[in-house]
Amino acid sequence: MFKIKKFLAISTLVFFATSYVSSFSAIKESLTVKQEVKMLGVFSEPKVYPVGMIESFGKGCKKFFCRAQKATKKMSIVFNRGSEYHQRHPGAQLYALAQFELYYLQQLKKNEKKIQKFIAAWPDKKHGKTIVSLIKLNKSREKMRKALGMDLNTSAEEAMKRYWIMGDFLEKGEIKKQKINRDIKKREKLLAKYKKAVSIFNSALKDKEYENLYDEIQKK
Amino acid sequence: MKTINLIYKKLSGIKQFIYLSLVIFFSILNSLYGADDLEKQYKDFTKETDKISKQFNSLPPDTSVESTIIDEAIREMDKVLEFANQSYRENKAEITEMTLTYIDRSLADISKLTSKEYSNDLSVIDMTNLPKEDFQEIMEISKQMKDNKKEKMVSLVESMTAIEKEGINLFQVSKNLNELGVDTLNFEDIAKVVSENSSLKEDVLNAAKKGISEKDYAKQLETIAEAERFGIAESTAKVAAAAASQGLTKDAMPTLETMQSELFDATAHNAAMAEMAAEIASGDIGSDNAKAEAAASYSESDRDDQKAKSDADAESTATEADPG
Repeated sequence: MFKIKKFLAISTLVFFATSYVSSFSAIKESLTVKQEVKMLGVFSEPKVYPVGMIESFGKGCKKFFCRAQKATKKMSIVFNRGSEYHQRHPGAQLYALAQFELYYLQQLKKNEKKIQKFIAAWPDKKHGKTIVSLIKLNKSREKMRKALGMDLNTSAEEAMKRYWIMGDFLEKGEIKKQKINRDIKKREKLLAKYKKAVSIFNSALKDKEYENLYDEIQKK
Repeated sequence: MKTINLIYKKLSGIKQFIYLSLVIFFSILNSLYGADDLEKQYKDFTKETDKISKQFNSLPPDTSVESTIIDEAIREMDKVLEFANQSYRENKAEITEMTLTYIDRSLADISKLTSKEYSNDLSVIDMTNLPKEDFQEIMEISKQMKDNKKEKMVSLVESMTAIEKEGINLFQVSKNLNELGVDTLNFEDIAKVVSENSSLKEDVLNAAKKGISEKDYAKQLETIAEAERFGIAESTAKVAAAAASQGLTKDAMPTLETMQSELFDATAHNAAMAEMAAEIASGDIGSDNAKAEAAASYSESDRDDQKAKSDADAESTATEADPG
């Protein structure tokens, strides 16, 4: 009786231990971590800004810090607006994407030393949390750029220029209001909710592949 | 002897206690590093989609054609969603991901049936008044968006082929949606993908055959043959290669001169731009978690005229450069 108990206990132990270890089996090698960090890029202050963007900063705001602060504030307001606002202001979203570029650069500048320390100390996990949050931000930047046919090799100046030109272009159109049937409106809202739910869970599935990498960087 | 027995019993008890503690310890670790967060997100997802499904079912039937189409299309999507749930429960993450991408794309197409309260009329823009550099930039972005769209289409068809092997025929679902009146992936789209990616042809045809009638299958074959005969991709590639060999950086985009000439179809261009604008507006490129991939596309049919002109343009340039 005792032998059976012992056998069962050991089997259970082995099962859980194996599945625990296998949850880490997909961990990417150290090289991948370094590559990801390299992909964050290096801070370099933009030399050129779109004219409209400079105007949006105001006359007294000439230093990078001030510009990045203002851009971040404006960006977060626009990103939180509802779909009706974006229908009425078709260029706003694209201007916000240009502002996001500045926000990212500011984050790079702010965490420059932490990135260097992380690289120097790796595989010791110094400032792992900051690095993971920067990697996530960079992945968002990549997705946003991809929507307009750019990638991480595109310079921040070029990306801002493109977003701004497209924003200006869309703003030149004439906004027309039309009456919508109430039942169609209800269906439109439900469809948007449905699409959002699918999109969020699909992103979670896609992000899962990076979870192990993030754990490797930040969990001690 | 009695004492030895007592010690032995106590030791056995401690041993069992240690085994039990270890089992509990690993169980906790396993739950911490296992499916944890994703499982929670899955629960939220099913809760939300169940709620939406109930809300759809409780909507009063509407007299408008669009509403009827939307309701029918959602019922069609419910089957696909059920399959995605089943795949997830069977730990088929990749298939779940592909199916969700298909649902996402189909929902976007269904949404096009609902008109937006505000629309952006770009036909009022005088393209000739735009700064030359801005104009070129907009054209370049449009081209890259089109390339993105094409890439996504190939990936979607590949996914549909893989999903068919797992139990649901999305070629059939797309066909049903089209028959309902939803402008979504159709025979022409599939033909275009297959004619430009011959390695996919056999698998796609096998998958499609199982989901559609013989008559429709014959139609699909005919459409593919037509696309191959037409050879859009091949001719464009040849033109580009000929131009490149002469040191020209010509691509499928019309030149600024072409666009500013009297021949340029400004109405078609504006319509295409308007569609692009609507896609940007309806997409979520600006959301805080940056799900930008659903952003924009550029209507191919609206640009056919411009593309043809551009091809002709490039061909004549290449011929002039190398008459032999």
